[in-house]
Amino acid sequence: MEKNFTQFIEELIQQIGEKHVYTDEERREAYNFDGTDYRYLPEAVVEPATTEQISKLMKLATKYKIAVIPRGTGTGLSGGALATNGGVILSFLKMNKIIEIDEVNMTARVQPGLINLHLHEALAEKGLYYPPDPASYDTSSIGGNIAEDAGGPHCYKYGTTRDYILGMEVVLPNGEIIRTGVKTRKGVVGYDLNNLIISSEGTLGIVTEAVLRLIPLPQNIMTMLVFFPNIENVIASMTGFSKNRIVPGTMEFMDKACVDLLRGRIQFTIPDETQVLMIIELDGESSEIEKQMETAGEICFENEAFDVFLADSSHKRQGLWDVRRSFREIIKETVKYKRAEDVVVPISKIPELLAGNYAIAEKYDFVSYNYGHLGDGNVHANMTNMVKNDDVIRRGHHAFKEVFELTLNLGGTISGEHGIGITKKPYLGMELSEESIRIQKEIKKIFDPLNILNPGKIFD
Amino acid sequence: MNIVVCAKQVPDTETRIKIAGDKKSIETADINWILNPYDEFAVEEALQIKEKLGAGKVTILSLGPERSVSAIRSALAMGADDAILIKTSDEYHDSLSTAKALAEVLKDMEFDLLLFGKQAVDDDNLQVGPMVAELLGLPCVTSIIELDLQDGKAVARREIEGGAEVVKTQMPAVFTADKGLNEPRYPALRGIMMAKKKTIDEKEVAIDDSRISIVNIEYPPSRKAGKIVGEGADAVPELVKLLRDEAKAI
Repeated sequence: MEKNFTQFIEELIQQIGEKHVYTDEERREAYNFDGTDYRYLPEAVVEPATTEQISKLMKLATKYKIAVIPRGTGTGLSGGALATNGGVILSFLKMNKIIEIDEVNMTARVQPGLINLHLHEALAEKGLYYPPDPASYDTSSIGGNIAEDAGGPHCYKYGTTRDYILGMEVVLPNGEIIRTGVKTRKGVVGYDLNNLIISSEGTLGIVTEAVLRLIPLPQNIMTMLVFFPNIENVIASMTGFSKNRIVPGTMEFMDKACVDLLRGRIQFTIPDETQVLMIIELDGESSEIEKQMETAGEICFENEAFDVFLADSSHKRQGLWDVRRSFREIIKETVKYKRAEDVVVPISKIPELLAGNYAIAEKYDFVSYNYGHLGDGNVHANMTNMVKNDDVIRRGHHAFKEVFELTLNLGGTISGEHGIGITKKPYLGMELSEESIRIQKEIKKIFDPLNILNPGKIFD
Repeated sequence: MNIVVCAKQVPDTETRIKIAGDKKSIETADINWILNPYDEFAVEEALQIKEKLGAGKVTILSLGPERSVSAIRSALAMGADDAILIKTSDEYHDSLSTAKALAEVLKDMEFDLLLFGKQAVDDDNLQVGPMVAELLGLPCVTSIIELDLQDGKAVARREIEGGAEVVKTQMPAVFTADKGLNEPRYPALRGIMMAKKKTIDEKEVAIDDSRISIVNIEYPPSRKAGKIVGEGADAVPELVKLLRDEAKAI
């Protein structure tokens, strides 16, 4: 260890106590990864228990110019929580509590290390609901969700993480503690620093507490599984739903490659001509959603759906969602090379995007799997191969460059919910103008003039 | 082959049960009612037997208040042919009075096979299936995970502690289904729409007074708060002492 770093660690231990600071190999190894394939070993790990300790950490990091990388539970898919430039991983393992659930004001105050699922469970006890539910919701943390503005299946109807964060306590890179946003249901005082911090991927400030907006938990849920002959019919069904004032809680889709992979893994006989499988979920009062389910089913049949199945109990619903949520892993098991990006296009352009992805896959010799949140136009585009080598990785890079070009030409965006991190850094300039990037870099400088907080993420 | 499946409506397994003011029942207002998951195995098995033979009839028999119709419709949507509801009040009926009422209807029905779920997930009594078998004088095999029918005989596999037991019996007979027997199908929307059009035969049966009454329902005791003895190696002696003397765990 370098002398400067040794002194930093010594002083840090003095100030926040040795049980919050780790430099042993084992602990550092445990923080060398995230949801990507990249591995970077941090020089130390800090597991604070209070905001004040984080403030002290940042004051010392400022003094010694040490990089600090905030990390939730490491499920991120763009490399945002990796110690790419060495430095200290700041873990929220010990700051994982629900501070308060306020049933009258319909808000909750939570620490960033809280697991999304644990929040869902605690709220359900009180008949309350916090909708954002990324596929990793059983392992990912609220802090990480805020850093990436995580989405999820239910964001079609209810909006993303951003829509549920009223205010936050934030430690700045210089160690000062500020509050962003409000604790009330609304507020417009000054610039909206709250929304600037949300989805800034831990590069502007460290969220140490969040005030969440809650809604009542829907009384009942009905989940439908629908097999369609093509994507155009799915889009037409969606339009039909809106015309009939039906807003499903979720609209998840899987394309033909995914469906073929599911054969034998689920108990349904999937019609051979199936090109798209949809999971449509209706939530609300039992009596209402039963009627909606029938109407939605009729609309699907009018649009040539082969079959509509229904999960009318929680254990059957769980069976369907287990398949959907584990789908990333199922693909991973079957192939050697897999790269996935979460592009978004206007819903009407999804057929064009899928057709384009298949053509690009063929050109670069990949099998393309596409699935995701159809209601949001958010497609998890996967390029896979049965071998993994430098050539395949290089081809993957070219293929995705074309996917991104297509996405932008269709009026879309290159990341819907995973963020830029390090994996999409090379493509940032495809979507943002030079001037936009310049302003963003200036903003970063105002918050973090020494570039010590999660350096090298989003842009250099 | 005529198969009758006795099925019960129960609260969804995710329901957060609230005890009612009388402390003898639960609040039913916000409950989502479903077909008892073990009964789903029984319905699925009946349907598979019928499909394999290419002939037969699957009849659902349920006992409960008016709302039970939705659970019956779930079974009809899966593919059952007919349904009978013994309509009761919403009050508690113990296992024996329930079994007697079911047997009363069943004794006038023709069937080769009578299936139950091994238990209803609401009160977990596991009694009604065997009681009905006894009242009808039929052989009864409980908690089956495999059923094979041939030449008027049935061979069933049951999971027992540390192994499995294979049981053979004459038909007609009563079986109660355990998890693992099959994977119940999801009802298709077309099936649900068709099920809506089917008439459910409602029967009035005098139900005996329950000999068992519920005295009290209470929540499980909340878990005691944990204790942090200290941190690091220094805390070990104190921890060992507490584990031995206080928790009596070692």
